[in-house]
Amino acid sequence: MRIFRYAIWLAGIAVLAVTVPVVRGLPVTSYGGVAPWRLWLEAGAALALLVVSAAEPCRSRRVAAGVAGATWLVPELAGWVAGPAWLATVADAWSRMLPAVVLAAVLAGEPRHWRRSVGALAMSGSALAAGSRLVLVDPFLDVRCWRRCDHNPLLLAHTTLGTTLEHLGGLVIAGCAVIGGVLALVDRRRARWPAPVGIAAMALIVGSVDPGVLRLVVAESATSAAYLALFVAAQSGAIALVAALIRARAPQWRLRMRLVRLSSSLSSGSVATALRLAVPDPELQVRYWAAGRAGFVDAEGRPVDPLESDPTHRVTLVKRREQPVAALVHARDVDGAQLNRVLGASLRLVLENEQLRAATLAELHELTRSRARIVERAALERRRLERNLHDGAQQRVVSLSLLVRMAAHRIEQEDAALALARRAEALTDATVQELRRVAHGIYPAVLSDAGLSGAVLDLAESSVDVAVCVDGIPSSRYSGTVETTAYLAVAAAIADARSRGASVLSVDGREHAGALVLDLQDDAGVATSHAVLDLADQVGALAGVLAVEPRCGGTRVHLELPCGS
Amino acid sequence: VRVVIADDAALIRAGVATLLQEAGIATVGLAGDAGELIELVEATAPDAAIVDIRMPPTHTDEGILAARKIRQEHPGVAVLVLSQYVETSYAMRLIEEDPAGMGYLLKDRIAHAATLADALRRVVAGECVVDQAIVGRLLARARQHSPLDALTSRERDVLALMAEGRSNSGICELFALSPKTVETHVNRVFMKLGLGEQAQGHRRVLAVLAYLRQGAP
Repeated sequence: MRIFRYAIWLAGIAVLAVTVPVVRGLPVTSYGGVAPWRLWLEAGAALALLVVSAAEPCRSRRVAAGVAGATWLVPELAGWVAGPAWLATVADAWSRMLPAVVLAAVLAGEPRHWRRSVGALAMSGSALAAGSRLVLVDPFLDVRCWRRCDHNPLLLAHTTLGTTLEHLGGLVIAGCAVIGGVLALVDRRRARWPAPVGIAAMALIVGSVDPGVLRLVVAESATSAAYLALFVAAQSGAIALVAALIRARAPQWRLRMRLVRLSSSLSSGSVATALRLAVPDPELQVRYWAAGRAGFVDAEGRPVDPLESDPTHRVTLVKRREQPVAALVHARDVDGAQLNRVLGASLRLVLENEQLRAATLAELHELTRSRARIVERAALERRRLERNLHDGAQQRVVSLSLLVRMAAHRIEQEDAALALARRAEALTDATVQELRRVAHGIYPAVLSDAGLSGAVLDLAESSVDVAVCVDGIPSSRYSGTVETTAYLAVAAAIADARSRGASVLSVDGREHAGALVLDLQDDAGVATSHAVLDLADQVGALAGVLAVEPRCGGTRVHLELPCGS
Repeated sequence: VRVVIADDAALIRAGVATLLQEAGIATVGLAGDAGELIELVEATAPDAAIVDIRMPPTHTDEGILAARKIRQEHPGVAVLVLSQYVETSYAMRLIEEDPAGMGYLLKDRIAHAATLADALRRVVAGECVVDQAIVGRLLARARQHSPLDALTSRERDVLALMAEGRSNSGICELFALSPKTVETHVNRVFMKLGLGEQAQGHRRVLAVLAYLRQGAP
């Protein structure tokens, strides 16, 4: 309907541009031609109705007001004697149609059903009057004719019936206007229009509708005081209506614009932007107090350097109940104390809001970091345990086995002692192997020495039941936590595949978009629980992704770990 | 055969020296870390060095680095690395540049003087030594459609010995077979596994280990 809006505007302006010069040349047979102020008033009323149409959200009222505005000056063309006779006749007929259009424009869009019936009745009355005027009335034979006194070229037959129907139509419209007005008055649920709008609308209706009744009594003439009064009422009603509507809507528009401005400045750190403009100090910074971090952070919760006044900058603390809220870092020539005083309640509220957000974000960042630290510390702890086992316990047992061996050499003569020594030897050998196995389980030293690729190859070699094929694995080195987590995931996936009775598992690793991606595909179905998912927390702490899903008739473990490359 | 021993545990250094002495191998020096070991090797010019893989300061793979350095700077000195790790990665890292005169044994072997002495003699003779536990682990690994299944048990034994770094003559001695028979076995293993002609001499052990490391050949 946007097209219609433009079209009606263009049509209205075009009609105005054509009619205004014509009307200026009709000093006797038009309202506007009598005096310039009347013409201006008339054109102003037409424009006002077009404005109502453009600003109107309700579609039927927009159409009615647009049509009324665009054709507002058309009836004046009825007095254009030099113009085409058919055009004058049509314009003359339109003067009987226009009151119903105006009435429709005022009544339309109301939810009350009676208004629709009243509008329809008025339209049919107008159509009756206009139709009679168009084909059943010959103005030449009318002794009281004013604007249009020539023969009607469209005339079918001149009868008294035509004149009667014309007057009947006028009465129907007037009746509809009265009914509409009375119903509107008694309708308890109304009062949706402010008084100025109602008065202006009433003036517009009275001025447009009542000439139809007046014509029964007094012959129409631009010089008649009664007709002139109705003319002025209609024009000023239209203009007042648009003014009243604009006035009623203005606060709404202002609020909307304010909200738009507000929403555009509602990003984090908006106080800083506002202060930078207001102070003015383009370098001004706002730092927020994060109580949990016992320090200042920026709007996004990132820690900032300790705040200190220096030769170029000064720090002003904004406090609430003796607790710091924020710190303003501004140029030395800005009076911080004064700035603090004039901040105002609403700005302080926004500042406190931003502080809450920044402090929460700071906590969140810290939480993320501490999760990663916990994982890292756990990995270090495993490594330390493994070293202790290798370099402490295992070393000693190896030495022990050496000693037992040497002792066995010395006592080769005594059979019983020799048997004991042999048993001790076997026991120490078994202990060495067990220790190696335990230490490897805690932390595979090969991981730190040969990296993920070497460690995964070795893991694959140690599987005697599930055939582990390493299709690809990046040979680059990653941080300890990433390597450990990825390794543990592969180990868990192999153990998992084994427990589900898989016969083969392929490892496909690659780097993609700054992350180490591992796909571990086996040939056994998905189970209800998966040991590998025990690592989900650890993967999550490294901001990674771990998923187990059925694929290709088997199970696929998908792991992504950000590796910062 | 004259050896030097590097291990950060004094007890192990002394114990190994004692055991070797009984096996007729003379220990000419003891070192507590990699730096001492290099100096000792320069000073005494031994036939071989026994090196613990984990030594101060980081206790990770100092032994491997020291072993490579000795082989580069003193090609006449063979190196036997003792390690707690059964993972193939370490053994591969040790021998991948030049397997000749290099050995990788699990540390538990030091209690078995005969094994240790045999390994020492082999590296001094320029062979490569890979602990049989490592090879056993590689052979035991689960595989899909493995060509290893096509090997006879004798061929499998021959493959294991090749992976341990034995030469054809070494295999002859162990199985009491004629060189001709062993050569036939070796050729048949190579043919069945699709190993190429380039895997000859010292580098044969590398090719075999790399082959066994692959999960799905």
